[in-house]
Amino acid sequence: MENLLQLIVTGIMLGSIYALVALGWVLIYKCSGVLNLAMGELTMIGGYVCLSIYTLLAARMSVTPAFLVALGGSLVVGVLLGLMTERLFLRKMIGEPILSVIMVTVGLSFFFKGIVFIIWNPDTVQFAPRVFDVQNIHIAGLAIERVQLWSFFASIVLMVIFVSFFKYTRWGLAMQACADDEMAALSLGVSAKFVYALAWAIAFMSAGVGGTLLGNINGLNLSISGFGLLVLPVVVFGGLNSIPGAIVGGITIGLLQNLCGGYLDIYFPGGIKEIAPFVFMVFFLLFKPFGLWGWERIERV
Amino acid sequence: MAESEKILKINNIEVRYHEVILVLKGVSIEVPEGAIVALLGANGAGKSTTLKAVSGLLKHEDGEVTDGSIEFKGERIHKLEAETISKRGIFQIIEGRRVFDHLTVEENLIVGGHLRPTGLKDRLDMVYHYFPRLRERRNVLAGFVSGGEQQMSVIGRAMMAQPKLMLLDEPSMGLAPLLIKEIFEIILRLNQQERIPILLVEQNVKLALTVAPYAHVMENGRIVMDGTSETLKENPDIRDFYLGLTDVGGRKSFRDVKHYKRRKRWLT
Repeated sequence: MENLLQLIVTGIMLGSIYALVALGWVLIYKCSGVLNLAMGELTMIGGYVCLSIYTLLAARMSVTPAFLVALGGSLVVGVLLGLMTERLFLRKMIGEPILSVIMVTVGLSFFFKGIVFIIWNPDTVQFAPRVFDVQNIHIAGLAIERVQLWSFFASIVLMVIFVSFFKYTRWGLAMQACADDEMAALSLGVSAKFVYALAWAIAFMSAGVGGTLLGNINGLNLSISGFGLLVLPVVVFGGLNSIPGAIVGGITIGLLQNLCGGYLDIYFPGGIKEIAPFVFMVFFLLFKPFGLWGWERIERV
Repeated sequence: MAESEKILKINNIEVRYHEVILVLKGVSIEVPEGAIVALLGANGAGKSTTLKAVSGLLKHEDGEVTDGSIEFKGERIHKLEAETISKRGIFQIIEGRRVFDHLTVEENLIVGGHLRPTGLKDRLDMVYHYFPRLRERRNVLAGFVSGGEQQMSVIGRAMMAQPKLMLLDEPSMGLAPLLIKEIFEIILRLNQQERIPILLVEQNVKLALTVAPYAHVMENGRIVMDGTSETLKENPDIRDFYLGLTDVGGRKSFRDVKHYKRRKRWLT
């Protein structure tokens, strides 16, 4: 029983990071219909950028401000990278067949992986000195790692920020309008190009924070990018263009992974934890191809 | 009318799609300050293309103005991007009630004010004043409101942008006659009270000629006739082909087998 609770709590915390990254993915899909297969690489790049800045700063100041500045710095770099990616690679693809655009994102994923390989050491690197205390927190008999708890809070805060940006600001509404009917949005003076650029910038930011948090939990290496594939079961479950779907989906997949890892690993030793989300995705697609809250076409009766 | 009072001048434009398909073959239209000008014609005559040429949306369908010019307040705008054109105050209401389905009616209106974020509240009230029905439905997803309410949202959305020129594409499409009447009354009030000039594309010729004092008739990418509504209403061709009336003035009877032998005079 104790064990189950423990697994659930850590599952939810891990899931909140997935939710954050999935949110970025959904934004791009929602606005421009691009199925972004490079999300894992965005996560990785964000993590590495933050790590580099942190390592630079940690020598000069104490841990907490160094980490915060590094995180802020990686957000700024994320925005720049997002704008650049959109400008250099995706703007030319507006109006091209969707499959070509997807292939461009596949290309991007290799491109970014290559860049990380060139700039940073491909071996696993840790945030050193450690940002979060290794000492576990004990709540109601459960041992929770500080990293995970903080990741959970950070993800929640960021999600609240992104969702309220989307719901209540002028640009957020314009992005939703663009997702709905690009031509009509254009006729009202909404700049589609800027909306796409914004979507990529936000995706880079959320992925970057996700990467940073993951890096704090397990250290950074190239395998973080494999994490990008995990975004697919998350968004398929939640519905490709649903923001609440991404959040619920992320947490569900995190839970599922942890529970499978905890209970099924004895029977299927090896990688059940990695496979479970995808098995789940296949079965889920059979029954609910639109996901939980994906857009089915609105038709008035 | 003096030259300076024309807010929009379309001078003999030619429009091509995909660089080869010639859709408009020399169209000239002028819209005076504060007026409603109607653009009439059958399907495929090029009315919507003309509007898109003005608003710049043409470029997003791979169309281009290849000859002639479009002047708005004396400045040439036909080479500009759609965004820049809307910043200058021209807003097109695309045909077919293209609301943002997954936003509420009020959010739709707010997106309309995207370029003028200050004073949104007042303008929302102004829109609700003209369309009281929208106030009741403000929190409903626009995809689910009735066709008439969608048309109102779309017009209201453009009003939120404080347009200096409104390009209105077939507001009557697919609506019940009573609703069409209501919407046209509102359009007329908008024009008179807010002094918004309107270039109106319509298939419902009778209705269009009642609200617009001046009209152009298009066919096959050309303007074939233009004049004040009074003269157009009296024109035998218009009466015959668009209003469905005989020369005598009574309703046309399809028993009269000869009716189709009449040729449009402008087709010679």
